Amino acid sequence: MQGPFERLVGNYLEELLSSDYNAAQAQQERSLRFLLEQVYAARVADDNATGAPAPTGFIGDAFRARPTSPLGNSILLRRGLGLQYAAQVGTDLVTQVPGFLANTSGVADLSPYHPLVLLNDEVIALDAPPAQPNNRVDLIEVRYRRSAADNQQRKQLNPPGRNKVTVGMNKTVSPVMDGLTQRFTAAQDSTSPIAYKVGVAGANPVVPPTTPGYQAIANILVRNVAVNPGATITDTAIIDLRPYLFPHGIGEAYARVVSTTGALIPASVTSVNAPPGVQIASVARGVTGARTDVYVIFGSSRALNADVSIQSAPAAGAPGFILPQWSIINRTISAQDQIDLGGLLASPQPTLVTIGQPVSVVSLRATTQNNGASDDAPAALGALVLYHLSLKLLRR
Amino acid sequence: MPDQPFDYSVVHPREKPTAGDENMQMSASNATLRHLADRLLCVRGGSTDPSGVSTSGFFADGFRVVPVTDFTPLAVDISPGTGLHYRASGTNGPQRAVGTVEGLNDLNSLQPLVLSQKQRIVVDPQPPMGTTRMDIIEVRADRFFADPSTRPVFDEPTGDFIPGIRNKTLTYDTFARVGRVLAGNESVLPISYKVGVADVTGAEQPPAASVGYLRIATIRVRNAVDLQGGVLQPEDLADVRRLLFPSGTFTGDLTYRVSTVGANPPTPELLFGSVPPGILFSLIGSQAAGGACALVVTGPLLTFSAHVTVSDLASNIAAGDILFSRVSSILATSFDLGALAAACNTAVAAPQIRIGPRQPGCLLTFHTVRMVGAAQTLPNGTPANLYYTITFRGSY
Repeated sequence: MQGPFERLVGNYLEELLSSDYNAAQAQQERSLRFLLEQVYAARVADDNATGAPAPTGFIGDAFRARPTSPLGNSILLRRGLGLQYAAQVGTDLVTQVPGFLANTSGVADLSPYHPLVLLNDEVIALDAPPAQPNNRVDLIEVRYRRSAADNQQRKQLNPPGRNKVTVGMNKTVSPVMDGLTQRFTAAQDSTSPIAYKVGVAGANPVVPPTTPGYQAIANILVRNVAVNPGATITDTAIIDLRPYLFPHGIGEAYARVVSTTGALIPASVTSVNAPPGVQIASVARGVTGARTDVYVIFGSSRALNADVSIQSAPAAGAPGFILPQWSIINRTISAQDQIDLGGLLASPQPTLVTIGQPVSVVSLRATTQNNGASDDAPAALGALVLYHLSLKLLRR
Repeated sequence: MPDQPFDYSVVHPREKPTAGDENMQMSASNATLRHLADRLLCVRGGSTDPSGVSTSGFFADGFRVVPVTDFTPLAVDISPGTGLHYRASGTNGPQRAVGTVEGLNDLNSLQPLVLSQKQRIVVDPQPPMGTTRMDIIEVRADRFFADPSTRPVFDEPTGDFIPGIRNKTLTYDTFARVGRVLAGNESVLPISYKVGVADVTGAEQPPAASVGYLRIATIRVRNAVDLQGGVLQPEDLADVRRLLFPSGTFTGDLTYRVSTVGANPPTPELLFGSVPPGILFSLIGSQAAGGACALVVTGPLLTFSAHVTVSDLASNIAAGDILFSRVSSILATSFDLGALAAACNTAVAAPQIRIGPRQPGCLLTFHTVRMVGAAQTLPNGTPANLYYTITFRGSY
């Protein structure tokens, strides 16, 4: 068969072969994965409308590294589904995956878009923290799995004896990655579907290299016990590196930010309409102009378009209208960001983030306009300024 | 066993597939499809919780309850369609070897809810004068064997194939599987009509939903004085279904022309609308001064947001004048619409819809202000028409 959506036909009075059964299933899965490939393909660039090859990525918070509860020197990966694009080196699984009987035919992986399947949260115990004064950065990386599983004793025709003999054989091709985490050193290439790669401790530790064929999903900063006496991993130690999957590479999100003028207090983030896994938080920045920074974190992606409107009217009795002004910058979380988001001006409070986490920051400010004159004093703006952020999350 | 997402089973050379193998192949395909649906439709844990949470709900108008207006006694119809019920246990919940049939596995917690044709339910008689009763309809996923057929079945003692009756289909269709229970009792059948307790009109309350069921509608049964003719009206029903959208979020776009002539309430006219099926909306001209309008969007939404822009395509405002819209308020979490429901069916509503006071929904109110030089006025009559573009988002 040449392509997706083609179907194998069993003809009248035809005796079906084992290869027919296998090929029918392989073809069915190829069609489903082909469809996903089309849905998730993004354009190549702003000035190029061509659809790029289907990207590797994750749906929602799938495989997102999180602290364990209770906290410990460990993390967990959230259950869910990802897809990894890997060019085919061949489609015959019998020759690529050990464990199937020789001459088995039709067992094939016909799509380069492979599922990354984690059915339950996967807990990963980390190596002990390094000695003072060093720290360490570990890496979590994944690759798709295809394995022969479910060994059974089944009857098989024995042509010489014209009888049936009982033979052990694997009955399932499985992509499920649960419980398949292994530990590797920084210098090693990973070989397991989920790989915990331990970095080299140092004063300025570096991230272990990603193994060819793998997708990096998280960096874990393991601090020494002098800095982190409890040897616990929190959200200030995990960088989410997962690329997101959005249909055609574009996700949508919305948030309302309520900023108080005349007082430096948190600007509450409410009414978040966003896909799972997308984190939105704010930090109040100033008394006048209701200045607020909104942080949008969605894995390794850090590009968005924003449209901002303001619900509020000027202060009672003041003429004119309020205009929003905003700017967007895509960068990584700085040390000051971490302090601010963990501090008393953040919403939600505290918002724990890791230095180095890719982030998009939308800086908001409001000003009244009245016949050419502008004013961003609290007296003109009124007590509250309500921003509405309409965001397009771009996979870049 | 190939009972996890993206698993598929293998048949080896000279191995004769068993009935269990055949069933297993379909079970594996089914599990893959439902896992994919689960991941695509899962919702956020909340505004500040980006965790992906599996959810139950309905597509479009599947299982929407509507009154029967050409039939007595009182009755409602449930619209055919599809939903998904996320449940890890319960009657006919996830199970291996359904009906002890080898390989017939139904292990994914996201179970199909199917109604193949319109389901009529006769409602209990009207309560005594001075009282009203609130009933509910609730549903759960179910499956059963169907399509009995005479097939040759191997008889082990004789070694012959003997005709035997076997059910050839495992179906999830809930049509005609309807029960009736009184308030205080747990429902039993997949579609359950639960009769409430009559109370003084205005104090009536719906019965509690049964454990493991999804409530899809409440029915207000008025007494013979308040509801003459013995026929339920749309205002007597509330659609409380959660709808299914990718990531639990939907977007709607509306373009209105709103007449603001004179001291009358503004009169909206819907020009263009793109709103997903299953959701009702209506823009109500609510206040003459300033041309204030209220947009009602139905559904038990967790969050609701909106963005409004105004323009004057007719260009009949004076040079130098500026129009701008102000969102007065957004009630972002659904509530029983109460008196607003009746306003949706008046001459100043577009489209005019008939919904009841118990209908959950969200509300956006806004108006336009006109800057004339340095002064700020309300656009009564000038311009005669305002053109609004409204984008709203909701999440379940």
